[in-house]
Amino acid sequence: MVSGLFLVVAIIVLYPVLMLLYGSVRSSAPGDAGFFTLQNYFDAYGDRETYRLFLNTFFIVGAVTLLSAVVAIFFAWVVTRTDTPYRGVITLFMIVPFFIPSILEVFAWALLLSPRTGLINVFLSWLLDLQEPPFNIYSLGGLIWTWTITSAPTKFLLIVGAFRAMDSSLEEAALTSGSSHAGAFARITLPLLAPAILAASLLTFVRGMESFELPVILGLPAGIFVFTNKIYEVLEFGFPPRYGLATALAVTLFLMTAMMIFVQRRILRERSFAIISGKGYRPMTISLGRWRYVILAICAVYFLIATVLPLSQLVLGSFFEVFGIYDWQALTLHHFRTIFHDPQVWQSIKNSFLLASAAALLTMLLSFGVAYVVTKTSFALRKTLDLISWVPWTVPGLVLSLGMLWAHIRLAYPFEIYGTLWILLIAFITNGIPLGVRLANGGLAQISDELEESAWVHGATWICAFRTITLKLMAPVFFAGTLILFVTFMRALGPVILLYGHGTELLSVTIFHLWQRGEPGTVCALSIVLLAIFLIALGAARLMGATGVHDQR
Amino acid sequence: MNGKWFAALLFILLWVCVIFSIFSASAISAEAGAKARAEGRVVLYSYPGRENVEPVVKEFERQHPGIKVQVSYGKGSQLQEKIRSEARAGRPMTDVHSCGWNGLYQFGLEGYLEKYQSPQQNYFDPATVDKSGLTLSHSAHIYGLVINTRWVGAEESPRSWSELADPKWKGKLAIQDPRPGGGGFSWFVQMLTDANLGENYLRKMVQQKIFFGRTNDLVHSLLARGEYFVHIAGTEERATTEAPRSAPVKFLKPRDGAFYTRIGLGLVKNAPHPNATKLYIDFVLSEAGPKTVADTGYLPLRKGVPSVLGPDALQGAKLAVLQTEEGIKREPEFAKKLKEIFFP
Repeated sequence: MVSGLFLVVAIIVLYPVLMLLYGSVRSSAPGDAGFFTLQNYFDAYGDRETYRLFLNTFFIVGAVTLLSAVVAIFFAWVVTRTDTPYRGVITLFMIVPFFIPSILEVFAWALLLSPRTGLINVFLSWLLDLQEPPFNIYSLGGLIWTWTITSAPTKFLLIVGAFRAMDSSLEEAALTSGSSHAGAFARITLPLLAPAILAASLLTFVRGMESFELPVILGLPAGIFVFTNKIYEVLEFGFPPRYGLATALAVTLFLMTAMMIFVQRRILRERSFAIISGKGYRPMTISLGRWRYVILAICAVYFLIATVLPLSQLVLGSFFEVFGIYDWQALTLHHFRTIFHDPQVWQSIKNSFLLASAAALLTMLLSFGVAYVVTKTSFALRKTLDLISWVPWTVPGLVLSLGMLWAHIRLAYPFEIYGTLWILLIAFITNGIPLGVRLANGGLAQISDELEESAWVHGATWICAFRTITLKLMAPVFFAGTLILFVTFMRALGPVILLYGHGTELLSVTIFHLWQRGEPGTVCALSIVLLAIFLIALGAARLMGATGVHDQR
Repeated sequence: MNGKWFAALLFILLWVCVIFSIFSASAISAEAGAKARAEGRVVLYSYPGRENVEPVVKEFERQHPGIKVQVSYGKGSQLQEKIRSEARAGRPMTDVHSCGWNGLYQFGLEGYLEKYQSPQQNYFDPATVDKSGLTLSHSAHIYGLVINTRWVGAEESPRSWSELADPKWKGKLAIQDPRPGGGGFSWFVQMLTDANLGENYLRKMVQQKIFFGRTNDLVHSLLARGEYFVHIAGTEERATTEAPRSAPVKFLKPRDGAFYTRIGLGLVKNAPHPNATKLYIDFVLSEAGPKTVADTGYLPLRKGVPSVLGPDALQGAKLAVLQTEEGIKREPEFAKKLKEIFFP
């Protein structure tokens, strides 16, 4: 059984990766006859553009990592170490955007900062009597701004725990010795939290390199390329699509990501996280005096800009005939009627629900299997299994999509799954395994082996002990993991963009295509529907305590 | 046998033949109809948007209960790549593909389309009928200039392609990305092959910092909301019949030559529902089809079907160079020139 699990995981994870490598040295499109060649790599590395991709990717993603770290550290500090009022609400406002699909936020910002018709530009031009719009979303600045705003909540979630758990006795010692609050923060707090911040930064850097929606929606029109939107451009705008070049670039991105994750693991392995001592402690709260209201105002302005404005834009855009023309005569429900009467939209909503639910459940089942084998058994290949479960972490969604295309386009009966929901299901499971295994590992690590062992001593069978102890204790983790994966799959675009077929379109794909077809009103209306689904899911999760939002407060 | 008897016999024979052929035709048609109903659906990959296709589909489904038409919309090149992938995977899912004629014809030459001669083609001008049988053109649309009337007043409106090279339009022009084909590429070729405009004009246009949108619809949407002032190679129907009431857009025929392209249908090779598809194609080409298409603003190519854009809609417009045999032959050369001029 354990060997079977090993085999299943190895096949679904390694097969597309190996096929991606194979595809990068083929002369043809996936499924076509061709020959082995290194021409794709010569094309990729013989072009100066590729080296610009390296620079752009590192510069843009680096800038986003740095800026989102500043935002996340500020808010983590505010909610854990200061006496700013409404810290619970601030935490909640910081967490909610994490559950909003970034593609919707990107659309909202693309509308808000449209050069001539974006609300912010129109308002500022009117206020300051400007001849030219002050902002352009389709620029390097626009790209970095939107990317930072959309990635800050994730980073906040990654570091706020470390801020909360830090023993503040060292800070107190610094203050007692005459240091100012700022000095103590700079010389004590930050260095102590550096490993946690570094870990979160490396993770957001890797996620940034893999990001697909943002560079495609904002980068392509601006002519700003990183690896992901270049791969997409080569496939979509190549006439015919240049699969060989795209695959060679995809392999390069895969290797870069793998290298970054290797570096991340090495750094984290070598650093000490000893910021939580064994003795009792209480987190120190800095009294900000009157400044606490200034800090509260800064937080309020940030939320207004980062969350309220984009969401308001989506709502506003959904009720007007033509986006940007806010004439009362042009108020309409047409966009909602369109989505409710369009069978393709309904099909994609159904597909997304079905697939995200099934994939989340299956991923968690598989992940628990892997985590159990790795942490609780003496299976000879358990370390290899653990390593294999990490591999998809290094494969960006779009790259996985391309690998799956190479892997599955020409399989013989009964494995002809191209164009069906099955290929999307496998893509999601492959994409979700690293997260699922990490979550399951975390849960299982908290359950001492002694619990099961004592059950065996008292005569329980392995199955009985597993069912009555491990399964019961793991149920909340399983539920939380399933929910997180469900939300992840509902909004995923990169892993499926090259794999969907007629009748298997997903909601994210439909929204993306509506945007490309120039239907912002319909996109806004559909976004509202999608947001409602997410808020319901978030509400359900909060009711069951699955998101940890309650704890964070 | 005298002449009278001979004539009568001939008449009876002819009459029997006529009756027999009518019965056999209706029997064949009934058989085809039954097969089509048994298949139950048609999968259409369409470049023309929802506004143009939905009314036709609705009318077809009303006339042929039991057959559903499922439509996937997208860019022509993108949809064709999907069909190629389906064929490579050995899982054809598409029955019929609709896009600009030249793209469709080349797709047919690649071997992805099945030949089909619809009896309805007899009612079309022979010049618009593809003799190879790979494509079936049903309508056309005119490309010209679409302006945003909020930004561009009547007096300052550009009247010709050449006026767009004026520096005052810098940063205010948008066009469909010409690289994957479509209206943007048709415009490029039209300008390149124009004796008065040519490469010099296009090089001047490079200085205008034109915005390249992924689809024609996207560019039109950006124009309607006021992001750009002029949509180069915008279509007339998008600016007239399809535009919402509040959209401040207007179509202008450039003095130095509007052009039109034909839109066609192609029966996909190994289509899963061939009989229902042929029924659908026949319907789109029949009198009812073009009438419905014409109501959405497209120019029907079937004889005797009026256009809502008026009887003179095509007057002064030339068939796009890319939609001629010569244009198709020279396409690789044009694509190379495009890269050289706009995307070096």
